[in-house]
Amino acid sequence: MEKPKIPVDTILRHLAQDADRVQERAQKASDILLSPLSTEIASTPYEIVYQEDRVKLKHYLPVREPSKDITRPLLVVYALINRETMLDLQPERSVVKNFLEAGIDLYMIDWGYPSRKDKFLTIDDHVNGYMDNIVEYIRSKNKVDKINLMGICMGGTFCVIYSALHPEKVKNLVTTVCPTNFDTEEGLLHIWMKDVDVDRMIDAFGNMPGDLMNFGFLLLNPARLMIDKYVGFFENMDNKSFVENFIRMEKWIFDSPDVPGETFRQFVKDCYQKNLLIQSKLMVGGKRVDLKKLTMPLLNIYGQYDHLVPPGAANKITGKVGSKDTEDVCLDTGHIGIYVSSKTQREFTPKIIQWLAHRDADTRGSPEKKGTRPKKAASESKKDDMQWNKRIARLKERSHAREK
Amino acid sequence: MTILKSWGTLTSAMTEPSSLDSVSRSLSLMPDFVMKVFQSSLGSYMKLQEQLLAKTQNLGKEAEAYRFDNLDQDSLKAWSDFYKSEIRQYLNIPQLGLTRFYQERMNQTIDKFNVFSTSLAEFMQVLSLPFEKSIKVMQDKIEDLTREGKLPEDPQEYYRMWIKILEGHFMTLFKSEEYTRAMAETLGNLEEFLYSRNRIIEDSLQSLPIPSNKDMDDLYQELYQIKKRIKNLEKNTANP
Repeated sequence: MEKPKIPVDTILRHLAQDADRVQERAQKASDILLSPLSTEIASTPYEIVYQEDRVKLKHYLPVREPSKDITRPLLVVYALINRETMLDLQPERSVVKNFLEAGIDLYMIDWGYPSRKDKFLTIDDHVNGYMDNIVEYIRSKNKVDKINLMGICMGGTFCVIYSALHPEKVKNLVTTVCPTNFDTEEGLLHIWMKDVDVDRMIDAFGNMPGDLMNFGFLLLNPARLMIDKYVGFFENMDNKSFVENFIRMEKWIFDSPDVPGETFRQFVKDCYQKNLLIQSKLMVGGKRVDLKKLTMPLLNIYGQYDHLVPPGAANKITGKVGSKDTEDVCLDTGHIGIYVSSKTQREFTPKIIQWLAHRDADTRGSPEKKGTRPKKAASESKKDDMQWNKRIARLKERSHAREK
Repeated sequence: MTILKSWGTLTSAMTEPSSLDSVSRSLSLMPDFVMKVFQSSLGSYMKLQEQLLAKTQNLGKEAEAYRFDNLDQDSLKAWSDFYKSEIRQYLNIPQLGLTRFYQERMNQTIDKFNVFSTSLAEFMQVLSLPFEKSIKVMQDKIEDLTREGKLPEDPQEYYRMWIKILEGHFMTLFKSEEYTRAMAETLGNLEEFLYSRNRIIEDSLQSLPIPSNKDMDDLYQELYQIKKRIKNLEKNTANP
């Protein structure tokens, strides 16, 4: 039998070639890193139209005439963990920009940076306080009885709670990567949270430190998030566009406000440890959050490979709410990729726009029966679909063109 | 005047023959007294030395109970057990006097810091296991590939293989009870240390014209409650 051969010569030759390439790359990288870089995030123009304590309401400036199909304003509620800037990370991959290009009147909550003074704020203060005041402001400014609501991650959980407690103010609800069922062994976060002594944690820290949470998120996959990611960066340091996007992402990831202590305590105890929300047993502001009262149309989008909110944590809600018009959409991506990957950009926002258009058109200001979907003539609905398919095709074309 | 009067009384009492006799007898007993005190002190001192030596020898005894096939892990555990059983008690000796509470809190902080440092070292050690194991697996894999004559020529392929193995080991570790326990314990010990540290900082701030976190928290809580009441009143007034 022939002895196995170790191709030492070939490996060494490759290494030598690599060494040359590394030198060349380092030279190019130093030119790039020393030159001015465009790493600004959240650059889509907006104005602050409402502020209460640290919480601000962003209203994005329209880029085209308002949509005739989605006439109600859309309020986007981000999580208290990390920042809402993720939806507008870079001009070519901006959920915000896509909504504006569809003519949506877009509002977004900026939760700000909680300080020690905010440690006593509860989920009730966020949902029935800040969120409700903001919804009231938008309703009154736009003279509408209901608005469209979209929640992201923990912000989605807040939206579910809000919609169950105030169904008369929400026309359509969109939840994205939103944890609602916490009794799952799919994600490490769900496993770890069950053993956390949250009382001791909040007594020691006051607010939940953003940096500590970020460290926890990095520990979910250290091989990829602490090693491979930066190896990838070094391998692509000579690509200006890659460097700029990488830095944008780093800016967003490590921009982590603390979470108000009492809110974090209740979220971990009542949701992660007792799983009360999905059982309609969660109490917020002295009222029970009864999911059967969530009667508006619900679109629930989640990621197949989401390691923070795995499918099992996100896909139970549609079967528990009172609404008969519900839809689950599982995208082939992870927790952040759903908003920033170029592939899902072509599916995610067009899907929401189309879904909203079907439910929002011609119902502005008119109260609707609970649990019913606005009926349209078959020909009208088909016409709508064609019109929207054309619009989505245009969006896709633009997205392809930008990538090229 | 009172002092002079007392001195006078004492002098007259001492001139009595019975008192003089007592003093001369006590002088003859002095060497005995000094000897007894010295013997007693020396005995106590030697006993203390003996106890300390015995406790120091326990370090070896604690370590003997463990297998040393994994030296790093066991030495950490040995130190942790030794600290808890032999050193910690000195920090828990009841304190006396005016400053007893401050001293007690200081000792507790030192104790919590030691416990946290040990558990952090243990946690880091647990986190390093996937690296150790992935290198071992990588060696085996390279051996297999060599035997099969399928060794990759591209050096980057080795990195890709290793990172995939490492990721797998981390995932296995993170799902283990051992990891969850180590993480919860480290986090808990960090929180206890921070809590104790904050208390001694508050103690030291008492003498300075600076409000402590507790003072501010009390104030924030009142502010929070007042704001909430005002907001509710505003809402009720707007929608009676």
